Amino acid sequence: MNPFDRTDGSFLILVNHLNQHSLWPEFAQIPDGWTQVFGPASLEAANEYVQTHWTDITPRESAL
Amino acid sequence: MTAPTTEASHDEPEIIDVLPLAPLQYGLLFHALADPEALDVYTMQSTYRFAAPVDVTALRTACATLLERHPILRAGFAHEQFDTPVQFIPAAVPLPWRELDLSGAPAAQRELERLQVDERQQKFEMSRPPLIRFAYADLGEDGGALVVTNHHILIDGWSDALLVTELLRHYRAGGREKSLGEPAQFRQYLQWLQDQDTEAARGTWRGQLAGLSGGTLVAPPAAQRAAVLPEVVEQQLPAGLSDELIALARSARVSINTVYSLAWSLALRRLTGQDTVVFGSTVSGRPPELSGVDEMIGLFLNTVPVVTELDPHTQVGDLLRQVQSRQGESLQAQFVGLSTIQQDAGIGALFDTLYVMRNTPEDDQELDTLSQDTGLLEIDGGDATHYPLTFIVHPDEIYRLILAYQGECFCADSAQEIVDSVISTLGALAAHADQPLGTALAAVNTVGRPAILAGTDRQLADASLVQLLERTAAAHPERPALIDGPQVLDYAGLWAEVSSIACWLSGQGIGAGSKVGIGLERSNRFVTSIFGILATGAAYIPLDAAYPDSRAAKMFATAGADAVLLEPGSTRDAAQLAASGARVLVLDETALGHRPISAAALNPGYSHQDTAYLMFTSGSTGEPKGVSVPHRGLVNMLANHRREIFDPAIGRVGDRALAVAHTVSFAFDMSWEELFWLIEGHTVHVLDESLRRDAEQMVGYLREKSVDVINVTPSVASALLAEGLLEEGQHHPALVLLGGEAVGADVWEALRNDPVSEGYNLYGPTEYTINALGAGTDDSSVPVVGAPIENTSAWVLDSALRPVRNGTPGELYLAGAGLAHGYVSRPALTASRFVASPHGERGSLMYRTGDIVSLDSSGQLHFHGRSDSQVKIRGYRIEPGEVQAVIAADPRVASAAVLARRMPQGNVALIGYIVPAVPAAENEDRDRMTEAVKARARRELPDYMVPSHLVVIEKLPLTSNTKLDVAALPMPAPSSGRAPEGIAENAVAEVFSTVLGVENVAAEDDFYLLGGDSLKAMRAVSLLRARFDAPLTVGALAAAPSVESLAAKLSAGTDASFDVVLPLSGPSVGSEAAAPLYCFHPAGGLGWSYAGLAGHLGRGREIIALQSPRLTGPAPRDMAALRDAMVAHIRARHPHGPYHLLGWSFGAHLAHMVAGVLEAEGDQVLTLSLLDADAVHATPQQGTAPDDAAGLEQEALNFLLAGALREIPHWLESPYQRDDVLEFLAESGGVWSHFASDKLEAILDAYSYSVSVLPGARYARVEAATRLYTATISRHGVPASDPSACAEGWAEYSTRSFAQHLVEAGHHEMTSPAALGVIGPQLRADMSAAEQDRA
Repeated sequence: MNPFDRTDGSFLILVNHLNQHSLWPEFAQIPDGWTQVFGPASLEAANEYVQTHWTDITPRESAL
Repeated sequence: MTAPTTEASHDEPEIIDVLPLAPLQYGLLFHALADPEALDVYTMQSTYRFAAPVDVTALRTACATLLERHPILRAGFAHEQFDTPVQFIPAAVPLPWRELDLSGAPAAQRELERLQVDERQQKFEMSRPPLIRFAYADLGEDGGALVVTNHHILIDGWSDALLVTELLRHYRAGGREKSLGEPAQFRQYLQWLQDQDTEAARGTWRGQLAGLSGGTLVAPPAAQRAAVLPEVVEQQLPAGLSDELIALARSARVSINTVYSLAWSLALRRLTGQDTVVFGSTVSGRPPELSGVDEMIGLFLNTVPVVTELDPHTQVGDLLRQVQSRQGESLQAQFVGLSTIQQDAGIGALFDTLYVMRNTPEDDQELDTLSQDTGLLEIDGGDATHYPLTFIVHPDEIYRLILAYQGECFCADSAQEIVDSVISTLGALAAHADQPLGTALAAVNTVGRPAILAGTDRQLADASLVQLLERTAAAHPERPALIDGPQVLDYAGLWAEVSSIACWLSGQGIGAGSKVGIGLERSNRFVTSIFGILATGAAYIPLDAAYPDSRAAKMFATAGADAVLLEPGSTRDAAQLAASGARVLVLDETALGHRPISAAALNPGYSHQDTAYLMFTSGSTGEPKGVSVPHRGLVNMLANHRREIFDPAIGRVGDRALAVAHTVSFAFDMSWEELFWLIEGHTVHVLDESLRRDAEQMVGYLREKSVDVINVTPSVASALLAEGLLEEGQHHPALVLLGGEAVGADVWEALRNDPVSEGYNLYGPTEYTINALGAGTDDSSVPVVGAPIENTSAWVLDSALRPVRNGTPGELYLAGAGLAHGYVSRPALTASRFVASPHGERGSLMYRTGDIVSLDSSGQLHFHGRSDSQVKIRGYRIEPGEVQAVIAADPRVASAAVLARRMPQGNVALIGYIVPAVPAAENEDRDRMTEAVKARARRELPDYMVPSHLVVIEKLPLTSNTKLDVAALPMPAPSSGRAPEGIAENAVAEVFSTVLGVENVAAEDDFYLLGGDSLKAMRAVSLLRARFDAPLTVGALAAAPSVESLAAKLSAGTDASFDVVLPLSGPSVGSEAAAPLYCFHPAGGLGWSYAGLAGHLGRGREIIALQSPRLTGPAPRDMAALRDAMVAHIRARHPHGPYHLLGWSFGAHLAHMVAGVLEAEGDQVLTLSLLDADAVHATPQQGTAPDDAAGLEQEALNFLLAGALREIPHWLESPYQRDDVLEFLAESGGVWSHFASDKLEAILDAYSYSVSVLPGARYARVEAATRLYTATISRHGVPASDPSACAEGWAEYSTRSFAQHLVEAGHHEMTSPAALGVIGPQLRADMSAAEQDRA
C-alpha cells in the first residue's frame, strides 16, 4: 500500500516556497526545501489541516 | 551374523501396520510422485567416515538393528488404492546393503564421491520399502565410509541426529546395544495428530492468510523448473552485529528468531516489491505434550507459511512484536499440512522461499565420546529443498547466514547481494529499534541500480501556444487547418475565428484567471473556441457530449466557472448550467465578426504558469475531480513532440503538411495531441460523434482522406485493426499515436510489424499533462510505456519512498515541467497526491501515479497495472494483455479484451470478451466459435493463462473517453458448461466428481478451481491410471487441469496397447469387407505378437487381437465368463459373422470356446486356428496347472523368462524371486526390457489368472474348419507335445474338417517371424478356401 494511503500512519504537513502543501509520512526524512508546519498527526488531522489552511492551490510566492 | 530382517519372505511381506501420513509426508509424497523422471531433491544422505580398522560386519548389523527397532524406517507408501495415501510397515525388510572395495583404488576419494552421487541419484520407489539404503566403501588404510541414503519422507533432521547416536552405539556394541530401551514410536505421534481439532487449526490459518491477494514468489512457477541441488552462499555476521541483534531481541522482548525472520521478510519485500510477504518456515512439529516426543524417529517437521505485513510507519520494536505474536497465534496450528493451508487460502502457491533457524548446537559430548570409541572421523551430510531460495540462520558464538539458491533462478552474485542486503537490514533494524521501519530502511545500503530515470533538461521557449498558432497561420494562411465534414477552415480563417472569439469573450468580461466551460457540439468551432478562450488568458473546461447537464453543473460549481459557451439552439439545459454560477454565453454570429488582433495584444500578461484547462476525471469516491493544468506542460510536451515524434513522421512521408484525424473527445486531455499538429501547421480532420465511434466508418474515412496521423486509445486501435486498418494494398497511416490506457501486445505487434505505420505510446496521467513517458513501437518488442520526455523525471519507489531495484515493480512517481497545479477546490487531495519530492530540486513536488511499473535493463518502463489491482490467477502473475494478444490474433475474432475479474464465488478469473469476425446468429455457432478460440488459445498459452470464460459480445463498450468500459462488460453466465463427451471426457469428469465431491462436472471445469489440491490430484491420477492405461502423473494433471484438456491428453497419449480389444490391422476402405480375424491372447495376456500375421494375410483383412482383461483390471471369475466377455467384445465390433478365429496356447482354448458360442448363436465361424495347445479334458490331470499361489508365481516368472528369449543367467535360480526376475528382464535387453515394472507385474498377474482358470475350459463341437499347429521343438523349458496325441485331443470337437500342421519351433516361438512364415501362408490359404466354399 502506498505510504500516503495508510490511514493508521503518522503524518506531517510540509510547505515549500510556493506555499504548496504536501502530506508527508513521519518516517521519511523531510526533503530539502520543505518546512514542517503541522504534525506528527493522524492522516485525518493532517488532511483537515490542509483543507483549512491551504484554500487556493495555485502556486504563489509566500512569506516562508 | 545375519540380521533378522533378511529372513522375511520378499514376495509376501507381512504388513504389521497401516498408518496415515504426517502433514509434510503428504507434501513429500506429492513431490516424489509429481514427476517420476526428475531427481528427487528430498533424498537425504549422510556419509560416516571411520578410521581403520572397521568392523564391517558389526556396522552392517548395526544398520539392520536400526531398521528392526524403528518401524518408520521400513515404511512404504501407497496411494493408488486409497482415498488418501497411507504408509504401511512391513514386519521386516531385507537390509539394502552394498559394499565397494576401494582399498586399492588410485583415486579412492573420487570413487567415493561417485558412489555418493550414484546412491543419491537412484530414486526411491515410494511403494517399495525400505526407502533407505546403505553403502559401505572400504578405503583400505584410510578406513571406510558408510553412505546412508534415505528419502526425507521417513525422518527429519532431528531424527537423523538421534539415529547417528544410536547407530554408533550399536556399532560400538558389535551390532546391537542391548541396553537401549524400547524406542518411542512414530505411530504415537500419528495418533496424536488424529486427536487434534483440525477445523480450528485450519481456521487459524485462514485468519492469518485472509486479505492476501497472492503469495510471495521470487521465481517463475516450479513446474517449469527441473529439480537441482542448490548452491550456497554463506556469510558470518560482523561480531558486533551478532551481539547487537541479541540485544535488540532482548529489548523488544522477542526471540532472536523473530529478528532474523523480519530481516528475511524485508529481503523478500525488496525482491518482490510487496509490502505483505509470505515465506515458508520449518517447524519441529514435535508437540511438547506428547511424552517421549523428543526421542522419536520420524518426520515431524512441517513447513508453514509466515505472513508479515511491512508497514513503513510501524516502529521496528512494534513490528517485531507483531511478527512474534502472529507466529505465536499459529503455534497450535502447526500440525496442519501445507497443502491444506494453501487450499484453504485459495490463492495458489503461497511462497517459494524457506526460512530456517537451525537449532542451537547441543551438548555434543556424547557424540564426541562415541566418535572416539568407534573411530568416527566425521559425518558429512546435506539435504536440499525444491525452493528457489532457502535462508538459513546458523546460531553460533557469532551467527552465520546461509542462502541456498537454485542456480537456475539466481546467480551467485545476486545471491550474495541478497545476503549482503539482509546484513545491512539487520544493522539498520538494530540501530533504529525505536523508530519507524521506513526510517530504518532509509539506512539500508542500496544495492543494484536504483530505478530512476530523467529526460533531457531543456530551456522552454517563452512563446505561448496561442502565439505559436498565430505564427503558423501567418506563415501558411491558405493551407487547410480544420476540416469538419464539408466545412473547411484555412489557417487565415482559423486565426480570424480564434481572435474574434477572444475579442468577443473579453467583451463579456472574460480574461486572465477566468474559467469558461465549452458545451458545444464536436466541430471546427470547438477547436477555435478552445484557442479563443486561451487567447484571453482564461482556462477552458470541456464538456463531453455524453455528460448530462447535472454533472456539468456540478463540475462548473466545483471549478468556480465564470461562463459556459453554448451554440444557438443547444439542447443543453441552460438554466441548470446557469445554476452552477456560470453565465451562459451563446456563441452566435456576433462572436465571429470581430477584427483580428494579435495574441500578444489579447493577453499581454501571459505566463506558462497560467492555467490552460480544468479536466475532470472520475474520482475513486465517485465525485469527479478537476485537474487544474497550466500551459507549461503543454508547451513542454509540444517541444518534445516536435523533436521525438513530429519531425521523424514528417520526414517519413516526405516533408509536407500531414492529414491528422481528431477522433478523441475534447473532454479527454489526450485531445491535445491533434491540436499540437494544428499548431504546427498540419491539417486536422475533426471527426463527428458518429464517425469517431464507428471503427468501420472510421477506417473508410482514413483511407478516403489518406490520413497520415491518428491518435487513439489502444481499445480503438484494436477495433480499427479488426476493421482492416493495416490491410494490405490499402492506405496505412504513417503514425498511430496511442494513449489513455495500457497498450496490448496485439496492437503493439501489429504496428511494430507494419512496414508503413509506426506506433507511439504516450503514457501520462492528466495530473502530469497528458504525456510523461513515451516509446515508439520500434523501441521495444513488447509494449512499454517508455522513458521520460524532456524536463521530466520518473522514479519507481517502494512504500518507504525508496527507489526499488531495476526490474522490481514499484509505484511510479513523476516530477518536472508537466506537473499540474492540483485538484481544483480539493486541497487535501492535492496535498496527498502532489507531494514533496525527496529526489528532485529543492522544494519541488512529485506526483504519485498509483501505477505499478518496473524499469528494464534497457531503460524502458513497463506498466504492470494499478497499485490496487494485481492480476493473479492460481498464484501466477498474468499480463492480461498477453492473453488478449493471442485471442485477438485468432482469425475468428475481430477484437478482444481480456480482464481478470472477481467471480461471484470469490475467485479471480480471467475472462475474455470477443467480438466475432463473422457475427454468429445461433447460440450453437457461438459455442462452436468460443470452443475453437479456446482450443487455439490453449495451444499458444500455458493453461493458467487461458481465459476460463469467453463471452461473445457485439462490440467492446467504450467510455466517453473511448477507453474500454469495464463496468459495461457483462459478467459471464454461470457455467452451464458443456457436458462431457466421449469415453475419455466422461471418465475424467466422473473421477473429478468422485474425488472432489462435486456434481455435474462440465467439460471445461478445472480440477483446481473446483477445489482440487495435490492430495486429491494424487487420488484422481490413481483412479484415472486404473481406467486408462496411460503413464499419467500428477504433473500431467497440473498441466491439463480441465476435464477436456486432460481427456485430450489421455486420448492422445493413452497407451491402448493393453486394452482388451487391440485392432492390429484395419479393413481396407471401399472394398467389400472380408471376414475379420480375431486372435486370442496366450496366457501372458498380450496379443501384440499377432501383428506379424498382417503381412501374410494381405491387405484389407481386419485383424483384431483380444487381450486379457486382467492386464487392465479385474477379470471374469472363470473360463466361461471370460469366454462370454470375449464374445461380447466381438459382437460389439462385428455384430454378425462370419468370423475367423485364432488362438495360441491359452488363446487356443479360448478361441475354441468362443467359436462354440458364436456357432450356437447362429453365426458362422469359417476357420479356427489353434496354435500349439493341448485340449483340456473333463478330468484334468494335466499337471501343468499348479493350484498353489507360489507354484503359479513360479510358472508366471518362468513364462516371462522364456518369453524374453534370452539365456537365463546362472545367478537366477529357481525358485525365482519376482524382483530378481524383473531386474534381469529390465537389464537383459530382451523383449520385455522396455516394459515398465508395473506392466510386467500386470503380465505376471494375467498369466497367473489365465493358468488358474484354464482347467475350467470346456469345448463344444464346432463346424468351423479347424487347423492345429503343433510345435515340434522342446525349448525354454517347455517340452514339445506328442503331435498325434495332441491332434487326437482336439479332433473330436470338430464336426466338419480338422487338420494338423507341424511347425519347427518351440512353444514360446509360435508367433516368431520364422514360425509365422509357416503359419501365415497356411492360414491365408485356409481362410480364402473357407470363404470361397461359403460363396
